[in-house]
Amino acid sequence: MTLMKTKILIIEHDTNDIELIQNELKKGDVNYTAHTVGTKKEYEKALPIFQPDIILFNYTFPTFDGLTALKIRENLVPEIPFIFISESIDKENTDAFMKNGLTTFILKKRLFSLIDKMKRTLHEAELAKLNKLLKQSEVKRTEELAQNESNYKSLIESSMDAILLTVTDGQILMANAAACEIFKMTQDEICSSTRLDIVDGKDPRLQILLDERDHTGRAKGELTLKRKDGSKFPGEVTSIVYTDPYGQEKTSMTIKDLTEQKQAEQSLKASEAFSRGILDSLASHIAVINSEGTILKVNKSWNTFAQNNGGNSTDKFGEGANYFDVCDSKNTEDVSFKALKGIKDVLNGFTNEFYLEYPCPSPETERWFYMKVNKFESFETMVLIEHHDISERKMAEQKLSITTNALQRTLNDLNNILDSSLDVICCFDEEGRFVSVNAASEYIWGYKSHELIGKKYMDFVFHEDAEKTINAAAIIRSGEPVTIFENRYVHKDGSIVPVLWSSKWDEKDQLFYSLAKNATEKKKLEKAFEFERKRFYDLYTQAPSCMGILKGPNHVYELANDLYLQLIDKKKDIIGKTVKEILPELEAQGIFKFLDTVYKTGETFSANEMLVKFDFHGNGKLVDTYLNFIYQAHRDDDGDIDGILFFANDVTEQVLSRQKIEESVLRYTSLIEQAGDAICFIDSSMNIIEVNRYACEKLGYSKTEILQLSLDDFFLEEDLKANPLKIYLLKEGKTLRGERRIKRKNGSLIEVDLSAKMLNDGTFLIFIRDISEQKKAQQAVVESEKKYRQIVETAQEGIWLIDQNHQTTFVNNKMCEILEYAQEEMMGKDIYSFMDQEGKKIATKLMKRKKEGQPDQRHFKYISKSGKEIWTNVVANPLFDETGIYKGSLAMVTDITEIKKAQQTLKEKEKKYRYLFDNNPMPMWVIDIVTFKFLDVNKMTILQYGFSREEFLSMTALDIRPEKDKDDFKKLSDLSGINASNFNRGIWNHKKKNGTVIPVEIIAHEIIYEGVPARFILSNDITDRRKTELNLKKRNKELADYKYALDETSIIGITDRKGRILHANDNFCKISKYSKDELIGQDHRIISSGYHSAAYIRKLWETISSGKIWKGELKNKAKDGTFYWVDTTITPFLDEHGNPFQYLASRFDITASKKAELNLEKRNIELIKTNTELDRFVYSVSHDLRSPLTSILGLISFIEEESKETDTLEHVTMIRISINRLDEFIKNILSYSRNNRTGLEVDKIPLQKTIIDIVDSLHSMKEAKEIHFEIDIREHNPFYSDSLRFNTILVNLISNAIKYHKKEESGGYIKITGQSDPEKLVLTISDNGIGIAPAYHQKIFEMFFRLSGKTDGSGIGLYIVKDTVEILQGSIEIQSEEGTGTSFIITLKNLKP
Amino acid sequence: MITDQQPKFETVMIIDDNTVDLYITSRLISKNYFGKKVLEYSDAKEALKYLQDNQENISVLPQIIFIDIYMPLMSGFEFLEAYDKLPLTLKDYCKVYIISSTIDDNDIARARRDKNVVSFQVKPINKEFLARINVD
Repeated sequence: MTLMKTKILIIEHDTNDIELIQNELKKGDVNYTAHTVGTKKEYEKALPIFQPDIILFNYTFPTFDGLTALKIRENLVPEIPFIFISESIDKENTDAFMKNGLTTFILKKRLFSLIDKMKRTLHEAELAKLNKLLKQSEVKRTEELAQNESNYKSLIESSMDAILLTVTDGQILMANAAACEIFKMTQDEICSSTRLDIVDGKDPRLQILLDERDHTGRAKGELTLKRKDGSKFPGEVTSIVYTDPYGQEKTSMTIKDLTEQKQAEQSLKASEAFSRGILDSLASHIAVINSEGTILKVNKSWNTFAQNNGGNSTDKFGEGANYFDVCDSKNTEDVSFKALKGIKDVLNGFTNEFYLEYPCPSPETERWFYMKVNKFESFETMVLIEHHDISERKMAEQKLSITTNALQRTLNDLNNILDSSLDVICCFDEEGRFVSVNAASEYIWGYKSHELIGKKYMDFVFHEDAEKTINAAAIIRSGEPVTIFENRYVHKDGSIVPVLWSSKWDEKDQLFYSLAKNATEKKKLEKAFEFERKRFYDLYTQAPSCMGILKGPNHVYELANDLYLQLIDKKKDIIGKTVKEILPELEAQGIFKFLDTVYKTGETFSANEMLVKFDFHGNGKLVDTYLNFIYQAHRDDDGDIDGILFFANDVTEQVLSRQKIEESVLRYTSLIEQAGDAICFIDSSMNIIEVNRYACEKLGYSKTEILQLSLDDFFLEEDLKANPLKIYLLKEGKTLRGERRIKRKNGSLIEVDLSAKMLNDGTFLIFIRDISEQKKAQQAVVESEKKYRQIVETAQEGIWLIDQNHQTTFVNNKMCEILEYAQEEMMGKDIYSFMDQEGKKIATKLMKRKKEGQPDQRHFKYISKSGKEIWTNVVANPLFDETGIYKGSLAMVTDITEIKKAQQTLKEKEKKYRYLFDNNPMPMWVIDIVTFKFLDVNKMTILQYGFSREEFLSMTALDIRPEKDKDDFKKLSDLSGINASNFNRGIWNHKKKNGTVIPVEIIAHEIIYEGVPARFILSNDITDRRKTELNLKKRNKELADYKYALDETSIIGITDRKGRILHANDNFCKISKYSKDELIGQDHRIISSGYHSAAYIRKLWETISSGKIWKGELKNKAKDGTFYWVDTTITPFLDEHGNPFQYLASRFDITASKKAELNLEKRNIELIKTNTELDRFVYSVSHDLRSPLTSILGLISFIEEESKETDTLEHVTMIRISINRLDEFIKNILSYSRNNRTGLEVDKIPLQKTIIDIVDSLHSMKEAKEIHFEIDIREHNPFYSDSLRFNTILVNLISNAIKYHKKEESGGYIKITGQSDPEKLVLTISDNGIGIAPAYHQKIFEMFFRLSGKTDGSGIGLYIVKDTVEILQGSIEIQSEEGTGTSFIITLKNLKP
Repeated sequence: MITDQQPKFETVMIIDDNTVDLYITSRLISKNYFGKKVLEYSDAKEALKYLQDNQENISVLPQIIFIDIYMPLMSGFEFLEAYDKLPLTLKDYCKVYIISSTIDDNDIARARRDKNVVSFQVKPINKEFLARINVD
């Protein structure tokens, strides 16, 4: 074959396809030549000219169909193989093709098989050609035909649809198995009948179909068909007329049984009718509209209402009408306009629900409706509109409103009475808003009552009284009636009105009832009184004398002014204590007796300059105080004595100073009297007016005698001549002094030193000293002057003279003073007796050297009379007589004890300071203020800076500064030098020896160091402090960031312990609509909504005041009266004792979600209600439906028993089946409804017993008769579940197992096995029934799914089972094969409580 | 079938507002020789009145009472409440069966709890049910 070129005719116009085919051909080792045609004409032309060996045809060819092409081939070149290349195979067409001689076909996707098929086909064609040529045998042809026939016969036989071959409009020639099944006839029976026997001739559609078939050769449509038993069923018939190889015209019919489909449609209709029935029986008018406003569905009430109210309404309001048009209104106040907007909002998803109440008056009555629009969840946007008559409710509301009006009138009367009151009578609600107020408000506050109602009284309270008012309100609120409470209100004209309140909180009405009196007059009186009191008080406190009041017989201090307190030097509070308690020392001084007398007799007691001794310090030391005082009885209003007024003036100072003067006068007098000098006073005429005793003695006169004399009488005339008395000089105020001789009475003369002075009163005072002895002594001194010259010269120091035997021959006063001895005591004493042992040793050596003539000077220690060590500086000189013999020594002694001591102390102090300096934990040093050289450094400096002490002492302060700081240092040092004593403090950078620079704080003092002006420096390394500061700054920044973040995101408020707002962030202001100024300082209750129960709020306070964090949701009220919800966290800030002193509240706005939550809750309640109603409704409907069914069943049983007619009995059986199905359906609907609407009721379920009971009850089923039951339940643990639902599951599954067992076969069984444990129950129900193909294992649980129409089932049973199993928190599984049986495995949770 | 078979009970009372059901039960009774005399009541109140009127006269009292649950004016349960107040002699003599088309488990449970009710039967009743009821 391959040697010859195969000629291939390709009928194809799509170049892609051509290329595909040619590619395929090239792949095979086919020697070929191809010709492509695209039209019918080309094809017809090519057949005889090209003479192809094979024809390839694309089935999807658009311009002429395959059948035509095939027919042309049949006519022209029937033996040429014809292959279809096609996208897909349609059985119907394939049949026709086969009959028209199609060789084979190739699916486009299987194009790779083209070569093989082509080869085979060509080979077969070759053979056929050979056979035809060689034998033309009839037998072969028959065989070929038979072969063809068997090919498509098998095709036909395996079809699911009935296929019949008939002589057109005549006998049925052939029927497949499906046809037998559908028509319930054997093949023979079918073939012996005609079309008339299987098609309902009365069906009007028959003729239409026949016409179509005759016209086109084919027809398709629905027809009523008949079974053998005469029963009819709907079917879809496809009929094709063709001519068989023998030229006979025949018809092929394909019939599809539509019974189940129809039934399903009907059930659907029924269920729709059912839902519709429910919908229609609701009183509300319900319509569903789509987004265009088109009314899609309405219920009966809707239509009825529309008809009753709109007349020609169905086209306006009914299904198909546009609701938007109905509502179209230009007036925004119109109900329709609002309704339309509401509907559109819901449609557009702006809101989930829209609700509107509107009046709809009919001619007879007033009516009200509500309209509710809900989104209708479906594949397209739709809304459900519900109108409901609420006239009754509205009417009731109106009635209520009328009643309210009547009450209001009564109230008005009462208000008139109230209004005539001069006091404000008012009540407030719990938020402090005026609810009512009488007309007096205008009189007192200037506001008319209507101006006040609804306003908060706090807005009228004078701001200084706000806190007081809030506190009072809180007390009143707690149930305590506050009878008198005073605050101030701001009058409309701006003046302040004091108001006296009495108020009461009524728990029932939640109102404050209050009475307010204008307290202005009272206030004025109070003010005048206060003024008086103040005046008195000023008098009392500022009076220059001590005063006070004692009360009662025990003299209790009632009043005492500051002066008095100063007097008795008691700073503590003495009021309320008795005088005895405060001044017990006075008792012994008899003061209390005076007080008692005054109290008893009422006589005033006064004393001047009385000495009173006070024990100021309470230590028994009495201090003299002189007082002028008055005790005056204080009488009460009845004139009885009830206390004592006392006034006292401290005159101690005056008394004391007077006494001092008196004393001094006395002292002078006695001084004059007892003076060692003669003193006399003379008047200006020189007569003696007074002399002292000494003068009398000295002059030898008696005093009387002397007073007769004149001054001249005492002088010698010769002396007066030589030296006259210079009285004129005295009179000029000069003091005269001079030596004179005075004549005594006995005429003897004495040498005197006179001193005279004129006194203020013009008299003269003359001192006369006898200098006779002195003169004598002078004489002696002159004599020894030579001897004592050296002594006199050195007399400022101690002078000590000893003889050669170390005996003291002279000591001067100074020396005595130094050694604390009297002169006599020292005279004649050995010098060694003034020394200690150590001193004696030294002195002995010194004495030797002195005798050798060596003077010496040294510090030497003597012992004084009292035993003290006296350090002295001694300069000693030996004395020699004219002959050079040692006569003794003269020592000049200076006391240097003090200096020594001071030196020692200084040394010790120096040590201390040195220690402090050296061991100070802070680096310290001293620098020269001029050169900056280090003068001293302490150990710490060395340690910290790393230089040694030696290094430091060779450095200047500049050496420890970084380069750039050096100039600054110099400048600053100059400045600080100006104010030397000041200290300078500052932060500097210092450089250590190792070069590191550290920040230090420097404190500098200017000092004198070892005589040099210096600066004392204290340095403090603050590197760590710097770090801490930086950390703090960083931390501070972080905190600020946190605060910022918090402020941005949440609502922040801080209150003090009492709930007063201290801080509010912007968000707080935003949500509360208050400004910051309005919030801060206010009680947080300003935003209280009053929504939460007192218990809830109390709990909150308990939590936070115990220092714990509180979290919760709060409803608050904004300034404009709107409410908002916040998710709140309150954190207490605790002080060092763990007590909260502030609270931080951070809140998040959850108003929207809260609203949604509340709406949802409301909706949920509505749904629950609707559900319950629907449940009851469904139940009673099914009961009412069922009731007549049972009647019918009863009647049927009579017929069954009594009738003898076969047909009747048969019909009755069918009725029974139908009714049973209906009954079953109702039961299922009911249990479905129940399953979804009732809650779980968990009980202990006795498994074995329950299952046996169920099996027993089902055993009565007709189909159950031959079935064997096996029950094996192991109750390891008690099983708890909802028993009704458990029963539902089992009844459904077991009755299914019974229904679907193999009826023809015996040995059917149902096994129920199971076991329970604490967690679950696993139950298996197995049967050996007809089984379910795996393809349907999922579908069987769908609602209304049924596997066959043969048995009575509603298709809801397994759906309910699955649903119920899920409600019982379990699962269900199926294992089944068609024909072998089914197992259901249920696992249920053990709901053990 | 023996035509002159003796009925099982002398008097049977049926209370059902549904006349069709009344007819069915009544016919079932007479066809199956269950009762000789059938007292049919479509109003439970009247049935109760009959029992009250004849409580002394046992001979005319029914031995068996079939009663429906859902009836207007007086329901089966209301009847049973009133029935409970009748004398013991009467209650000992009469046996009450509830016959109803209800499939509400609550109804069934309530009927079973009533001590005066012998059993509960879902409609329609059949001869097998009647056959199970025996004279003591």
